[in-house]
Amino acid sequence: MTRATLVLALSLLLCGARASRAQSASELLGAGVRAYQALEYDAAAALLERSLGRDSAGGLADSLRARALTYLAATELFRGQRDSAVAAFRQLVLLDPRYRPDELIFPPQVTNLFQEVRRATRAIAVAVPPVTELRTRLERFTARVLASSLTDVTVTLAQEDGTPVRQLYSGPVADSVLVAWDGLTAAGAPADNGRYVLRVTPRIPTADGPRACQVVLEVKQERPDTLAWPPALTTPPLLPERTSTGPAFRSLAAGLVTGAAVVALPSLMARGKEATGARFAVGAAVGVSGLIGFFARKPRPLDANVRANASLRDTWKKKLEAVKAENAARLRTMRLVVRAGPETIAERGSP
Amino acid sequence: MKTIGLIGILVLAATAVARSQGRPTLAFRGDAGFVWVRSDSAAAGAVGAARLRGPVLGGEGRLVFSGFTVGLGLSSGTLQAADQGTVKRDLIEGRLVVAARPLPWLEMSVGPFVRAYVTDSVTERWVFWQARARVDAPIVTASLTSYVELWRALSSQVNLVAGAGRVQGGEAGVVYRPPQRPFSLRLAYRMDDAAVAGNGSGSQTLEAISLAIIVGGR
Repeated sequence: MTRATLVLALSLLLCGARASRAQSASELLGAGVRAYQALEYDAAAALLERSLGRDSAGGLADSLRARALTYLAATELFRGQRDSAVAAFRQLVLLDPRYRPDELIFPPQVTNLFQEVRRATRAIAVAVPPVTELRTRLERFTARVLASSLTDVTVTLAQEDGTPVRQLYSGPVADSVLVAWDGLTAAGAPADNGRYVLRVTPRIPTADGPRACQVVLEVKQERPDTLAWPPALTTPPLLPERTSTGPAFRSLAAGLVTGAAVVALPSLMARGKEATGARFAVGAAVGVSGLIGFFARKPRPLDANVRANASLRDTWKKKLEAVKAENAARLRTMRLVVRAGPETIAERGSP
Repeated sequence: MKTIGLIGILVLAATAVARSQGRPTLAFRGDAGFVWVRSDSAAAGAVGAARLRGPVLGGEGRLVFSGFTVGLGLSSGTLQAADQGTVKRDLIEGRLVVAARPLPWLEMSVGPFVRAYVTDSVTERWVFWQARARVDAPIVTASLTSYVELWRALSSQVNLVAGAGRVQGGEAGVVYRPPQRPFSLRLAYRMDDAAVAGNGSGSQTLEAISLAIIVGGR
């Protein structure tokens, strides 16, 4: 046999042992229940204690664990071990404050004892969905606070380092209370990314009172899409509000150039010949006409275009304000993803 | 040669008229001006060296159709010696022009031009075949327009012994079209220079300013 074959065989043996151990916890519970029903209380107690004794990896789920504790308490009661029955019920209440033994299965002496223990054992718990996606302000993250008996509690949300974020509830819990959180801090801002602690604490802590419980929440922001601003107004669609300076200067240039041409005509066409001063009069007249043209066509406001542009600008500003308002609303209602960790019992005296 | 050219111009004009889809329009121009003539061609056998001046009246009719124009003009006046002497000459000018506008601001034209200085005893007659180019530059659109026109003789003839040499000239001015009026006013300055052929035998320059009224042709 090679070394590889030996390693493979050992691995298979280990995996098989783990599977059989996980299987045996529920099988032990089944066997214990059958023994209880057969009135074999000693055997039932042994089997049920063994089923509860497994570690969490291979042990029972909470619902089966609650069932095992119920049967164990009933078994101990019928064995005359009342203290053991009370201890089992006490564990049951701490495990799930809302759990109630089935009155069709268990006789009144069992259920009565449970009620007695439940009243004496003040426990609180909190149940949260594993993942919640919400839009701040508009939607809610919900946590159900459970109590075994009437208890005044305070539900707070704090950062992981203990910095308070918001108090979500303060008041009595008879059975359960649904606490909602809109994703905002006490200042009204969306909660930042990070780890938070949702803590349920009794308002009047006592030595025998319920212990605070808490859930770690991993909060992550998802920025909402915002609308693009409307494109800046340019020309077009804006209309020119003044006439161009081009025509005025073209008029001036035409007059001056033609006037100069009049004056220069003898030099161009009859070089070296004498010419009268008549050309200066005509050249001046043409030049003056250019000046007249310049002033006639100088830039002036176009009132109709100014009014049309004012209307366009107003419309654009309204669009911009609408987009800004919509974006602000979207940013105010940021999307949060809240992932909840397991519920834990807070240490006494912890913040 | 000139006859053939004239016939060609008339055929071209007639063809253009026949092809024109729009109705031809007529324009008339009446001129009143003052002319200065400086003649330095005595050595070449001309009427004689002189400086003359005098008023001139004239007119021109134009037929405009589809960018083509056919025009016929005539002007006349009596010139006197600038030194108040007794020399007098009649100045008579006539021309036929065929013009086209390849561009809205450019007019090209060709045609014969006749100028005659008439005295009691002799007539000095110049005949040119001119090629002209005119550029219009609006100052105020549809109301006030300046223009410059230059020309040069393609061929020239004068009844002087020496014959005609280079002949060229130009005109520049401004045209005012009053709004809602059927006429236009034109102020112009013209300068012609006609050289006499031969060994430095002289030249003749003509300056004119004119004020014209133009009716029709819009």
